[in-house]
This record gives sequence, structure tokens and C-alpha cells, in this order.
Amino acid sequence: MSEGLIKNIKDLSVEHNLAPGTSMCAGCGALETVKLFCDILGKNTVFVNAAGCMTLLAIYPFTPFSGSWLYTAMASASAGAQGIRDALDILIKKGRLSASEDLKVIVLTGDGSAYGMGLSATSAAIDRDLDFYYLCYDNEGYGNTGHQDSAATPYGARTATSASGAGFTGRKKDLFSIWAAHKPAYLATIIAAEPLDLAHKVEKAMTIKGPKMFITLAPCPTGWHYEPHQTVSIGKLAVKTGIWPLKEFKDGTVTHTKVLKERVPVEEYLKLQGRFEHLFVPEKNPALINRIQTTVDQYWKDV
Amino acid sequence: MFRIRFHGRGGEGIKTASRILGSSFFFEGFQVQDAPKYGAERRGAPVSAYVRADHKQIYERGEIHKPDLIIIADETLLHVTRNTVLEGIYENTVIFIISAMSNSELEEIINCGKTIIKIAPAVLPENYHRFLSSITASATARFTGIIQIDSLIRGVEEELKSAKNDLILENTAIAKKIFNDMTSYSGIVTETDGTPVITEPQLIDLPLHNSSIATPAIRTGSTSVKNQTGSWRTSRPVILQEKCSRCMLCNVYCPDSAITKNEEGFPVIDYNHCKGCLICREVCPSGAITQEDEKTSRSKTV
Repeated sequence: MSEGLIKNIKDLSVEHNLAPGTSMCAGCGALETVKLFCDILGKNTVFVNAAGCMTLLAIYPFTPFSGSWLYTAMASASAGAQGIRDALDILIKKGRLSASEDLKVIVLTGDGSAYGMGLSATSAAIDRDLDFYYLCYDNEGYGNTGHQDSAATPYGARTATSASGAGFTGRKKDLFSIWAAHKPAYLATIIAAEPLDLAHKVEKAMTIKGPKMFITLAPCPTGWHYEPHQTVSIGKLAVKTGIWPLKEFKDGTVTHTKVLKERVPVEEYLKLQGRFEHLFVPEKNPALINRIQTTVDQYWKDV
Repeated sequence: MFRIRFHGRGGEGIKTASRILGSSFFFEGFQVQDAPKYGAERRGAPVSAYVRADHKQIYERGEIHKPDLIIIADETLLHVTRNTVLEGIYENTVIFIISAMSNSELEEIINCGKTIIKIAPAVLPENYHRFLSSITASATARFTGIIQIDSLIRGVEEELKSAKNDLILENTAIAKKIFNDMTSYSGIVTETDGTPVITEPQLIDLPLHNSSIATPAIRTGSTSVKNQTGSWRTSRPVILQEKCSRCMLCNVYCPDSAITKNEEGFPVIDYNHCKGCLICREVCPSGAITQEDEKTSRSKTV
């Protein structure tokens, strides 16, 4: 399916552009994606980071990036990206920067910003056809402040602000569809637990000019309450249960890049995570589990 | 005023310990401040928390720079952030540590001639890490000589009220035991004067600097390698070369870029940075990565 250089897992770089020594939690699912992203995009990058967990990547004088990094408020990362893109274009036009020294501009935000506060600035950036990448690491809550619920929190999950009873009673916002309605040049969901699918999509995006939008599900040991070593297993289950559909949007069409003949019951995914423990302990709650299963089944029926 | 500073690692329950102690003081009629130090702290990273307790209103704010008692819940901190942990020791400071080291080893490392009270993990339940909050809060409450057992237990129950009942009971049981075990140290930590010393600020005129030299900038990339996050580990992955098929999946999935490839094509773990998440062990298709207790492994290599 790929026209790029990465055909199988052995083609992924074993040397990494993202340096170790960050203060992300052990087993961070978001950091896994950022690492793969940096490897594929190369070193000529500038990251525009809205407030969130990943803000702590670069704490003066330490940075894991080989390129530059700009910190913005939660609502304005996409606007920051516009400023940098314009500045780069002007420098190139004036001959003060050669085209080979051009940088890729990547917005990096969590779901709190992408699904909520930052949505307006992002909407406007897509409208203006800004040539940038947007990577939303979606750990389904405000992870950096103790995991309060966000617009990306799924139904039934316990968070710091939906700690009792059935957990979060709202539903996860469909950011993919909202962004797709803007008709960006490229849009995809990814997950680090499926690195080849991720690599193919990022490689494809690199051939396209305009807004290139990514949402990665970021399993979060701290906020989801599981042991750090389970990050990849839980990520794979998110895909196998159909909870996290891997898909892309290009030229007006949505394509699912991984369609499963048989899906694993959502229970297998839920029961590994402390945030869903109340669905199983002290006794199993089939009604709530079924409700989550039905939502997933309905989604795939329409695919 | 009592000025008490807790040191531990993210996830060990230091913040909860400070809250239990704070609540216990409060139930004894004290004015209390308790606060964890927030910032870039993460699971396994060094963290600290503060408790101030006084009979009258407390005007001091911020970090405690001159503690009457320092609690060290994790002895590995003495190797990585010794200066932070032992900052501000003065003549009355008492040090409390949970450590398997011998008294003479501890005295040598801490080396400041202060009273060191130690609890060895060997006398605690095997899963004592689950109860570190109650253990440290309870011992500390006893050291003050002022907090009664009832207030302590109320503090534990108050802070853990959202936990399961069994866990609360286990915590109160261990809190009671430690409180009794520490009887001989009752009152070893003494109060010092809490009257605020307010000095006039010294105002200095600063000229405006050019922003390009007055603002911090990092002129090179990948400087985070200077952060030795390897100190976060409690368990370490170990690669068994004879079983390794050199598929490098461990390298692909390691979030921290902490696995490299050697000349023969084998993966090599960078223990200076590996945080011990053990994703590599989980994804290894040939079972070539095992898990070892960090303390045991470290003592083997030293």
C-alpha cells in the first residue's frame, strides 16, 4: 500500500532523532508516536507545542529535539505555526534561507487543546490551507494536570473529575469528522502500537502540501491506570477491538487502513485499565460494557 | 512551628503522606500548610512535599529551606539528588529514612552528624511500597510527640476515603503499628519559632538588556541526553543475546530512544536513560528480555 521507503518494520530507523532523557512518564504512549514522527520527518523540523504533557519535553536548557521548539498557549498552537511558516517563507523568498534549509512546521498538542481550546485556531489554519503538520496525542483527558476529563474522554472512563459511579457520562467527540469537514489536504488516525501504518501515513503526508492532520491514540499508564509495560499491548487492542479505527482522509474520501474480519470484544481492552475497573469490580456491569460494545459495532456497521 | 519536608519518587505516595500528616496536625488544632512541589514530576522522578504546622497563623510560604525533619522515602535519592534532599540542614534537623543500608553506611553517605532514624524494609511487610504514605506519615506524627493516634488515623481515613475499604484498613493497621514501634522517638522533632522575619527588600536598578542576550535560548539540539532518567527505574530490562533474533522491535517501541544497535546488530539498552517501563520485554517476540530488580542489578554491576 505504501509508495514510500518504509515497507516493513526493518525499514524503520534504529537511530532516533528524538533524544532520550525527557521527563515523560515511563511507558508514555504519546512519546512513542512523537519518536516515530521525528524519525520519519527528519531533523529539519520546528515543533509548535501547546500547553500539555509534551510541553515538558523541552525544559530549559534541555530539549530532546534536534530542531527548534516553540511553546504556545493551549488555544493558539496552530496560529503559532502560521507565524513560523510565514517567517520561513519570507526568509526563503528574500534569499536569507536556502530552500534546502526549510523546516517542517509541526503542531504538537494533546486532546485538551486539539478537541477543545485549540479547535478554533486549527479550523482557521486549515481554512487558510496552511502547509503544516498537526499531531494530536490523544490520551483522552487532561493528563498533565491529573487526568481530568476532556472532550476526548470516552464514555464510561473514570477520570479525576468523573471519579464516581459509572465514570464519564459524556461521549468522545469525533474530531476526525470535524477536521475532515474542513477538507484538509491530509488527515489520518494513527497509533504507535501500529508503527508501519503510522509510517506509511506520515510518508504519504510528506508528499502533500497543505494541512496534514494526525490524531494518535496515546495510551497513558498514569491516567488510564495500567502498568507502563502494557502501553503497546493496550494500543494494539484499541485497534483490534475497533475502538480506535485506523483511517485516513484524502481527496474527499475516508479510507480505513485496517479493516478487521473479526473484532476482539471491547471487554478485552477495557479490563486491562484501571479507569474502567468499575465495569468489572466488585461485579461485572454487562449493561455498561454492552453500551460501549454497541457504539463500536454501530460505527463499523456504517463503514 | 514544625517545618517538615518529604522526599520520594513520583508514585510512592509522598504527596499523600504530606496530606495525611497535614490533616493529623489539623485535627490536633494546628494551623497547617501542606503542598507537594509541582513541576515536571512524573512517576519515578524525584518529588518532594512540605508540611508546616503552627499554633498561630502561618505567614511563611513556598518551599521549606530549613527543615526540622527530613523524610527520605527512597534511599536511591541520596545518590542522585543528595544536595536537594539534604538542603538546609541545621542544628535541630532530624533525618528519617527507609533504607536497607547499615547505620554506618547511612552515616557515611549523609555525613552531617544529625540524628538519623531508620526503618529497614526487612521489618516492614513485603509490599510496604503500597503503604509508604501511611508509614512515613505515621512515623512523622510520632516524632512530633504532639499528634495523637486518633488524629493520625482520622488523617489516614480522610486522605484515603476514595480508596477501597480493605486498602484503608490495611493502611490504618500499618499506621498504628509504626506509631507504636516509634514510641521511643516521641518528641524527637522539636518546634522552632514561627515568627516571621520580614526584612525590607533591597531594590536594585537593572538596565534593560538586549532581548537576544537577556532571554534563554538553547543553541544546540538533543541536550536532554544530559538528563539521566535511568535513575527512575525500579526494575530493569536485560537482553539475553543468545535468545535475541535481532528483530529490533524493542528499539521501535521504546518510547525513550533508550535502545541502540551495536556493531553485531544486537540491541543494547542505554541504562543511563531507560526508565524501566519494560515495554521492550513485553514486545520481544523471542522472550529474550528479562526483568531484574534494579537494586540487585546495580549492586551486581558495582
